[in-house]
Amino acid sequence: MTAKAIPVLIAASAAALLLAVPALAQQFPLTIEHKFGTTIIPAKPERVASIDYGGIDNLLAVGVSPVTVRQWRPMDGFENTAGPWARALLTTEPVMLDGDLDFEAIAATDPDVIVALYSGIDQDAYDKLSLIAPVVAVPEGTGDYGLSWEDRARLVGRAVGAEAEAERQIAAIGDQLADIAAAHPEWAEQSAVLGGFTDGAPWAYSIYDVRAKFLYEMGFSQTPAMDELADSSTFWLELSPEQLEVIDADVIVYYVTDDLIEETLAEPGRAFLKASKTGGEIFLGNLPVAAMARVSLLSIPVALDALVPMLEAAADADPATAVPDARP
Amino acid sequence: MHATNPPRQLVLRTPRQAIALRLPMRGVAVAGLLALLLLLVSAISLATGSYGVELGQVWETLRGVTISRAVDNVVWEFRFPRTISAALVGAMMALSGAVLQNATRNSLADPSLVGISQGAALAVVTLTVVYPELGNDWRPWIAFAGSILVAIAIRALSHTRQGGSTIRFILMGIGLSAFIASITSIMLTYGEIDRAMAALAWLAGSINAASWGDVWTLLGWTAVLFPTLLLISRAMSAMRFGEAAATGLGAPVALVRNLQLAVAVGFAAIATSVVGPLGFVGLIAPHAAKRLAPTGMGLHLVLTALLGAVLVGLADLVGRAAFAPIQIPAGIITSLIGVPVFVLLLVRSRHASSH
Amino acid sequence: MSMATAPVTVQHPVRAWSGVPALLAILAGAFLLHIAVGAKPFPIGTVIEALIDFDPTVFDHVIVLNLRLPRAVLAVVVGASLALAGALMQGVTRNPLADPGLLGLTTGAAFAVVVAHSVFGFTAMAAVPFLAMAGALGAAVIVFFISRMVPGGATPLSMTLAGVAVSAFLGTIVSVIHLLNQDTFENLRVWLTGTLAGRDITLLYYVGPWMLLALVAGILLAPRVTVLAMGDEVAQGLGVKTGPFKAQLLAVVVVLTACSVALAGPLGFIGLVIPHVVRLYVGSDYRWIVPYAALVGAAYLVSVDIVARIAIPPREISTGIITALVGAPLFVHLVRRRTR
Repeated sequence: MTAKAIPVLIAASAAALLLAVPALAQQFPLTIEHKFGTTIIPAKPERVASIDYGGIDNLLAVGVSPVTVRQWRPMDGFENTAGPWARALLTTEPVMLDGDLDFEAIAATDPDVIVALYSGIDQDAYDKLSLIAPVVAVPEGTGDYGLSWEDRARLVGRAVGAEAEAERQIAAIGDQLADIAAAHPEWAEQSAVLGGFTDGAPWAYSIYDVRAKFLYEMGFSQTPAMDELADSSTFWLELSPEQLEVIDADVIVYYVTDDLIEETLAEPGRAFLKASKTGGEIFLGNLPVAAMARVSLLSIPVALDALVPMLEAAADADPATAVPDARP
Repeated sequence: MHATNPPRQLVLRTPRQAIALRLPMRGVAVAGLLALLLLLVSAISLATGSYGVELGQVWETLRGVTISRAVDNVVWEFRFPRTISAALVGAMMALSGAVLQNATRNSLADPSLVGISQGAALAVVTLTVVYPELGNDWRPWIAFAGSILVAIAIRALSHTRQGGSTIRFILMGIGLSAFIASITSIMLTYGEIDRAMAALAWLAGSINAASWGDVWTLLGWTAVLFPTLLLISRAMSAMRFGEAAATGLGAPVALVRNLQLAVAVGFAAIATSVVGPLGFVGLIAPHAAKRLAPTGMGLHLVLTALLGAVLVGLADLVGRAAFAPIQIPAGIITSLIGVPVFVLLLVRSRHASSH
Repeated sequence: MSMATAPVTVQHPVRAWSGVPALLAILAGAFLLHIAVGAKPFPIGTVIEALIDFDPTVFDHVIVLNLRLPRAVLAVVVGASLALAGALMQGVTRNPLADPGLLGLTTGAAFAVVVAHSVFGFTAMAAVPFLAMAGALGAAVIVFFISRMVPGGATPLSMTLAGVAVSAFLGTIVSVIHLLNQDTFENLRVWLTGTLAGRDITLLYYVGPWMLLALVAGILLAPRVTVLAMGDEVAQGLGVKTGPFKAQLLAVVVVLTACSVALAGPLGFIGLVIPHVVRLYVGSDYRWIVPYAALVGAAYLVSVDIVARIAIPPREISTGIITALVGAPLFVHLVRRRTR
């Protein structure tokens, strides 16, 4: 791809006078390799079908309103699975796919490309989808739900001919994270955990989890016990009540929706965490959780904007400063 | 069994009477009607879906006229294999139940009740979760192996000095089912989440993604199993009156019994391996067939197969349409219909309490 | 089935009583062990210290009292309840295969809770036991009537088959609910596998009194169950009003099963297994079977739960999976031995 990029760049800059074309236009037909083989997208797709859980955000971010979306996290209460950060960008009324994949419903939307980067499809489903339109699936060697948020956004961008825009936004989020880290050098000295309690047992997302990674990119570190337990295959640490030291960080970000806050506050183990004494606790609440769960180009900036003031108040080791979180 | 009033019969003979078929008129008529019904259900199934295709267009497409690439795909690749698979799977499960009921002389036997489907399910889930790299080609064989093991276990367990007992067979199946299902749960809980989700989708019993490859798998096995079944159908009907009577009639009892079980297991395992567990079809179809037209074993099997095909075809149709746009797997529909039928049979059975 | 007419063997009271202290000791031992084992094993001394001299500033004590003790208590209560319910059911139905799970009661209770929760959005904790009771009672009545309508009447076979059918039907409806609204189901998914992990102990405050009442009632009713087990005619001849008496027993069984399900989800086979084990020791006199079943059931579930917690660390197996793994083979064995 990169070898071709330079002539394309020259051509594109000529066209830039006429249209607001991104600096790096893509050449179609486009070839994408993935675990089920090779997909060729003949022309820049107009109609894009998404069968990904939470797949709507990245498409909207690069200026594409999908023709289908997959039902996901209905508890967030978002129409068409689009959060408040995405709603204004949605110009179509997409078909909602729920339950078994309805191939005909997808075919009926007459898509030019089908994005399946977070959908869990198997070979049979891939074969059927390929009859409808070119399918973009996860690369070889990647788990069904194993793509990093960057790769997911990048592949979505590439599939719809907006790779440059996707790259720009990925870089912008990277810059935002770097700026946050630079503005808070003291965070590099502190540990932080994204996790919580389920029925008395603590759990945490490790540095290999797409959501928790943001904390560590802002400068925080894992607890030593977490460093020992986490490896790239275990992004989720399910702990027993006795392993409290794993989540005993300077800052603990409880990954809880509003309805679980009270339950978490009543957890017996909580009182033994140092964060509960230093005001280092954050209870995220509905919207930040929904934004973090989606890890999309649109939702990550929203999540970070919500998170930073909470982290500032929590990481100051002063129990007097109130953390602006979802606690009632 | 229904000897009081011998039905009118249609007799087909080959020269020298190597094969002679006595076909009661009523049975033949019912078979004809069922075949028509199957055609009707298949036609509705071919004409139903989220993609609007008019019936006329379906017909044109089936005749080979290409209206558009999309319509071709919808009819040929999505609806056709799905419709055929539903019919085949239904017929196979129904036959499995019929043979099982005959083999165990138990009117309530069904592959999903006695643990055979669960054996196939455990085998496939193990394959999906533990050896995902092996792929789907192995599924039918693995499922067959799993089911055969369960069948052998049940037979060994239910056999006594007095010979196998019918009630034992089904009660043991229930125990064995529970045991196997809990192992399957362990597999699902402790397998990697990606794999477990794939296995769970399969376990719902959905014909949604049936492909031409699946159709060939089903057809290939049916082509072996169904003729085998027809070959032994005479001996099977002799065994309806008990093994001693069958021996008296000159039937090779041990061979036929083992063949019957193997065929029953084969049908259930292959159907399960393609679409996941479909409950109660094997129970409903043979009984309904008996009720519609009491016939000899050969025609009874044909009626049963047709009924099973209609039943699963309908279940798949209902699952697609009932809660649209949410797609409900056919397995759930067959259970919802199947349980009341099971209860009805239980209540009406004459011999459930004997032995 | 030959079981119904089995002669009553009565143990000498001295021998029957002799088991009680031993069982209590075993139960206490298992109880303490249950609390002591885990990702961080505690010496039994620490456990006892936490129980009698609790210090809220010591983390180990908080683990023992707030996390491990409630689970052990649940295991005791649920194990005793299900085993006792199974014993009474086997007596009153004269069915050696009777079990609240096999006869559809647990699924009925679970079904009612799920439907109330996800269809009607009904979450008030105080109502859970009543919902579960209504569900269990409904399922029991349906299973009973189906098996009564079967030619030959309510035999072990017809009851088991009716129970399996009703369970399958209700289970399928639960699957449909799951497909139609996935988010509420997530909350219930773990509970539906039947586990003692992370149970909300506050529910015990609502359910506990009912269970205690039913346990006591069950033990008080037990002597007359022996008579009933010999047949309705015999019982009537001995002056037992079988109709009202059966209704009382049904009420006890329903309350015990429903409350157990509300607390721990559907745990299978405990009610089947334990009474049979108990019979080996105390014979067929329900005066002894019933209280013994409660004690052995409690000890059994506590032990099973220890296995569930430590078998494959750091994860836990659902308790219900283990009770099925142990119970199903015993069921098969009973079928082999008891029926011909």
